Amino acid sequence: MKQVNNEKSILEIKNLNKQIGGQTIINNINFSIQKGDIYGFLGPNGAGKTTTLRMITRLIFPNSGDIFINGHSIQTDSILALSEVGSIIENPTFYLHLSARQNLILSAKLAANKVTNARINEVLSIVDLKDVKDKKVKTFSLGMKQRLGIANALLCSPSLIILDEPTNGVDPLGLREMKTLIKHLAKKENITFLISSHMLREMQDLCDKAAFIQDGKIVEKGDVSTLLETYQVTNLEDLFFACIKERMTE
Amino acid sequence: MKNILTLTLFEFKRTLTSKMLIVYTLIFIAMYVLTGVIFNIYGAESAVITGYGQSFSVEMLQSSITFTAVFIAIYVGEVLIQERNNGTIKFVLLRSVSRLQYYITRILSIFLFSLLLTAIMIVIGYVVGILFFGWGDKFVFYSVVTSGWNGIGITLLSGLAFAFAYFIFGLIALWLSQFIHRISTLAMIMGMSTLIGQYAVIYPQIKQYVIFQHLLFLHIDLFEKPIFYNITSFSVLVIYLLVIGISGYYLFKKQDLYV
Repeated sequence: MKQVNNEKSILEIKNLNKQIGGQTIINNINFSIQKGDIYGFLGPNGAGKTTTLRMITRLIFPNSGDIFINGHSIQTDSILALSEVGSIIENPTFYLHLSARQNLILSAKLAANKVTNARINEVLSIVDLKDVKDKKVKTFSLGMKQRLGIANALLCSPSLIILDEPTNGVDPLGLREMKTLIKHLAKKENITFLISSHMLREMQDLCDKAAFIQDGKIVEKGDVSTLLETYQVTNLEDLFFACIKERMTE
Repeated sequence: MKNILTLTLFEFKRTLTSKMLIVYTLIFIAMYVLTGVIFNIYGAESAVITGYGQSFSVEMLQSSITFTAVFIAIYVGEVLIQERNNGTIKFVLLRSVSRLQYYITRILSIFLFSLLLTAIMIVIGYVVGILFFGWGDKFVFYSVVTSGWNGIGITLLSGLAFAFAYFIFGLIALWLSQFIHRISTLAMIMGMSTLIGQYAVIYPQIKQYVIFQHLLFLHIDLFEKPIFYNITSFSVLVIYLLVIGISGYYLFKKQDLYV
């Protein structure tokens, strides 16, 4: 597996384990993400992707192991560690009786750093929701909620954005726009992305690095183009199955 | 502190503009009007009141135990169970809000809601009482007979004691809500507990330590019992507040949130 340079890690996961009801859901996971990466966290449904992301964002707690964001342990320094993280876990949630803008104002008030009205308008423009900013979120489609979720994640100018299955419920046009947006943000605002998905083919032209997870274990990780070359396959789906096959024969 | 203030104000504003509050107000109005009608038809013996407009408000507080308990439980469900079910809890916790800050805002919201509900009951009591009986020449509340501002003062003081007892009851509901996934289940458990709990007060040795005694009588005991008794009652409720509040937070702090 590819070795990473931990000195530049924006996110580092060390020996992470999670058991639920006596069953091991996450089994000794280790991986690191460097600044500027668009990192795919890929695997089938039920593999443990969302559980891992929930542990990173401290919604649930690991049985053992630790997570470091910008060098701060999530166990001992969670507020500081998460202050530079924007995230959508499972699905974006908002107060439906409030407008898009009102939700972002509330979110801004709860942020560690000061967020100006100009920044709220800016993120609404980035995700192309400025024209509907005063509409109640309950009138929004799933795709619009996803975009508002990205706006919320961007609000505090984070260094790391975590997106859990961001393509869920998004139509092909919306998907293309989202990929363009993520690439644009990674390049222009130097934001690191951790994106989980079970739609492996959709992630191929987006992620430059990836970790594959199956039954709570990382089966392979590294630079996407290097992995494709190593396993002599042309897409992430084939790569995933090749990794599984190799693991089974080991 | 900023986060606690922001979230508490947000919850309070949400409560003030909710349909739920309108429904509760209408239920209280119906109950109070019905009491006035029964009094007018069947006389004082058939009602729990003495028939003076200025004391109607405080007299009616006790009669609403089950309604108020259920309303408090539903409110607690709204501020924790619904937040968890809708996933909006993560909207907050994924920002720089600690679980301690979040739990404190739930406690403060329940406190404000208890005060708000009591204030609504007192206002409705005055309005309905005056409409049915006029202001009257005296204020009668158990052994207290007075009039005018003294009566209003007693009503407000009694209301504060009533709200405090229901706030503690709300904290018990908050503690329980960490194990319950449906608001209706919580409301049913808390409502049933008041029906059953009222019988606990027949045992004199334990009644002062049971929350239901205080839901029913704290606002009356304040004027009927000696000061030492009332100090003990308030101490019991403060111990409830500390034990349930702190243990509830520790449960919440360690809870996995699958939202």
